[in-house]
Amino acid sequence: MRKNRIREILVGLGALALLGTLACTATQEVVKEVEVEKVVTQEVVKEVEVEKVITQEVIKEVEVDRVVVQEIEKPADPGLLRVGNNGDISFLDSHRSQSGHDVWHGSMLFDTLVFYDRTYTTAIPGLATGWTLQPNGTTYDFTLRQDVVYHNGEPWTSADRLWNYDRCIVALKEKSRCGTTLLDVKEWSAPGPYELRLELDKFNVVFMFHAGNPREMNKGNVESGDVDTNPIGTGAYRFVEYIPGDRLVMEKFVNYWDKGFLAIRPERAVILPMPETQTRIAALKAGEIDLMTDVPFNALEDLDDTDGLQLLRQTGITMSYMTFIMNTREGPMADVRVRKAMQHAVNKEAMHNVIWFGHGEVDCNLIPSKMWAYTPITCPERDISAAAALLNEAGYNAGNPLKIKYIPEPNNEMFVKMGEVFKQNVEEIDFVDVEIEVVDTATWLDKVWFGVEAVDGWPNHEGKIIHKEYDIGDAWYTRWPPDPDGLMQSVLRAGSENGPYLGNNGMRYYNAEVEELFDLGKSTLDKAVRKPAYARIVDIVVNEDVPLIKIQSMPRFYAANMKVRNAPMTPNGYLDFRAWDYDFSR
Amino acid sequence: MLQTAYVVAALSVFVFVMLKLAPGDPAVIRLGKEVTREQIEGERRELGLDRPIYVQYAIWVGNLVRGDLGVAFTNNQPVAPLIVEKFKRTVPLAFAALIVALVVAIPLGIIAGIRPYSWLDNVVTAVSLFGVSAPNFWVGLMLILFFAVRLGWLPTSGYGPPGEGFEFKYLILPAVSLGTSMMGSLTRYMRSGMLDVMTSDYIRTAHAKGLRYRSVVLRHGLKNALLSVVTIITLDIAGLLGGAIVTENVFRYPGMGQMLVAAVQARDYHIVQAVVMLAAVVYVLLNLLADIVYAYLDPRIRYD
Repeated sequence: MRKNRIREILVGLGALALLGTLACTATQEVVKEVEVEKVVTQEVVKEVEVEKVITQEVIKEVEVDRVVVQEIEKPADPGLLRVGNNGDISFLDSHRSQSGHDVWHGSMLFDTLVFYDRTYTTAIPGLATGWTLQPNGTTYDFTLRQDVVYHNGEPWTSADRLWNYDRCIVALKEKSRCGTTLLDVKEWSAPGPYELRLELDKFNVVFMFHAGNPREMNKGNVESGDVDTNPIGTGAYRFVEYIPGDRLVMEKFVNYWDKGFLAIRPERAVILPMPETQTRIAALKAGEIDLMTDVPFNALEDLDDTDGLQLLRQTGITMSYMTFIMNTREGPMADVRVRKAMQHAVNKEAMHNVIWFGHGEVDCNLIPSKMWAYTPITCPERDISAAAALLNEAGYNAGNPLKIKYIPEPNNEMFVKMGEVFKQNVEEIDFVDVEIEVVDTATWLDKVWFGVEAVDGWPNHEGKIIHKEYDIGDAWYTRWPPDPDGLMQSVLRAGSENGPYLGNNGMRYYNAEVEELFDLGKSTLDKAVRKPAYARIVDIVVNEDVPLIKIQSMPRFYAANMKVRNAPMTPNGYLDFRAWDYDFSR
Repeated sequence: MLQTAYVVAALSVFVFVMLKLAPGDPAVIRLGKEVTREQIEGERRELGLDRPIYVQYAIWVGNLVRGDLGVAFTNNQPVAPLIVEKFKRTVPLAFAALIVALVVAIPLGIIAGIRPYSWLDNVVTAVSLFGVSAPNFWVGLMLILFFAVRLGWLPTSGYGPPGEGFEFKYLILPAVSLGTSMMGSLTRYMRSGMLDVMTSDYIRTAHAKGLRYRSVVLRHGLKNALLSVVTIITLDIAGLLGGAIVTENVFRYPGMGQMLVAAVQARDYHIVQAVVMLAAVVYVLLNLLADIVYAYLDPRIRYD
């Protein structure tokens, strides 16, 4: 009897083990079947591609950004690109995308009307082969490419393009930022099946930087709701599979219009969300991924010294800068003397060395030194006595100490380190006490970025009282387009003292002169007019209003194995998918 | 069972209310930072978040009854297939970790229990304390660095080769990492159970009857010592099936834990509610299983 019971226990334990093993094995069987199908499909795709390469020799179109690519063209061997991304995508629907994690599939699955050359200052043909700006300065006429098809085989025409404008500018107006870069577009029409006309309400010097938007999506795909599980575009890759938190798989779209581009790209691309930094680094070192995003500054040296790996770095203009932002409407930071005191108290050099290991460029000027609009200014020096004197003037002293609540942005330990250095710097003044409150993203958005409706706070343009709990926080701004307007306007502009504040103005900053200078800078191509306008804006921000404190520019780094070649980075820190290529021999 | 249904229903209300009370707005997270208040309000209307909380709850329950768990706020993916997919991945990890833990913990616990305060017991105690106290993420990273990066024997992370399906070798390191902490606590419980049992009267009687030592330990001692261990195993499995949060993140193992953390951070009510419901049901079922196992192990326990 007892023997039987022991046997039953052992059988029970065995069953548990078996259950686990069976679960694994069953999945493996299914996977094997799927793999066989994939191999067969790949064979077919290869055959089709051979035909396409032959056809390509006949119909090859030479374009500005293709010249370099054609020189290193190779036969399209099968290849797999594996990207370790520092987060998961937000939406497959590109019109709804809202994070940098959506850039990969956004640029691979969906084309845009124009692309940019490698200086990222000039638009070049994309889905549009050419365009003209009429003498009135507000009418753009685009000629559209005629050999474009969607991934489902449907031909692409101007009617599809109009639908994309309808969706972004009208239908999604209150649900997505898709149309926010197209606010100047008042009318869109199609004089012919491959002609498009856009009417702006006024001349906009940076319009062509936004003219690519929105990314081209498929009406039927969106209206059927399939876009969230099987998106269709006209891009160089087509969607294969997405498992949230696990992977996004795409493969070459053999009917893509740009055969030269396609020829030097890997057969498949897999985007793997890897939020844990050490996991990404380990996977890259072990050869399990080809490319990792968001290399932490403390790992740069190690990865650079690792055989078979390379660091990809920004070489041109960096449209990315790190700041301390301040709540200019509530609490102690509503007093400009306190904000100026903070500017004197912060030790930017210490942060530069301790947090970013000497990478980046310390400056108070929001405009980077490589940009044409850069005008050197004298930055306020670190001066604790001057900071203390300003605080005394504002009424703070040993009897009335200044308490500051610092709420760092979540999900990156760098921001907490910034808070710690800030606390150390500022607390050198005896009567200042900094409290660092670490919160999650949702809470941070409430306490710092958007605020919440409350009894006490600052009225917004709708008359609602909005309270923000932070005094000082941090913001890592990465902007587009590479123009002083693109760099600063969404950070510093607002409709009035009460808003609406543009998307990156977490400080709720407003200055009527700044608004006029932005309008002036945007209204002309004449750099002799624009440059002093932007210099004055910088002067107001640094020396008069101080809604934020720029610490330094923030270069971005990626790390990759040697399969990845010629990988330039855009000014806003993304790898330029149109420009880089892949070494199939490695 | 009726009591179980009450518990699950109460839990669903509790979680729903707590999520709503927590700061943070799913509409804001869904839209990102660079939007206006008008866009946020529009999104809230679209998601039905502008309705009273009891209406939202009633809608959610109504959909649940029809088998519709809704779509994820964060990416518009349907929740039901998502949960199934993640659960399918978490189950092998949980059981593999359990096996790793049991294979090590039971023999070590027995050895330590029958030779208390000996050098063997000291070694086992050290090993089990390491298992209990070493942080999961640290153990995981060390395993990755040694077995994957340095030796290259096993993959660093994931569930299978990129872009493909499951492969067994991807399970080994996360299972060992997760099993290590379980092993620690199970060894301690096993040792403690054996110590209690081995000093009891019926064991002395068994010795007096002249039974072989091995037989006394394994037949008479182990079975009774397992009672407390079964309880711990049940709780551990239930917890693991709800997701091994740290391990899944370190090893990029796309299971329930990874999804739950992301969903809580994004205030993705639909996913959080679904996971909590599933975890509650799993808990209840495993408790039931534990009761059945008790009855097998101890004939005195009967459920009439």
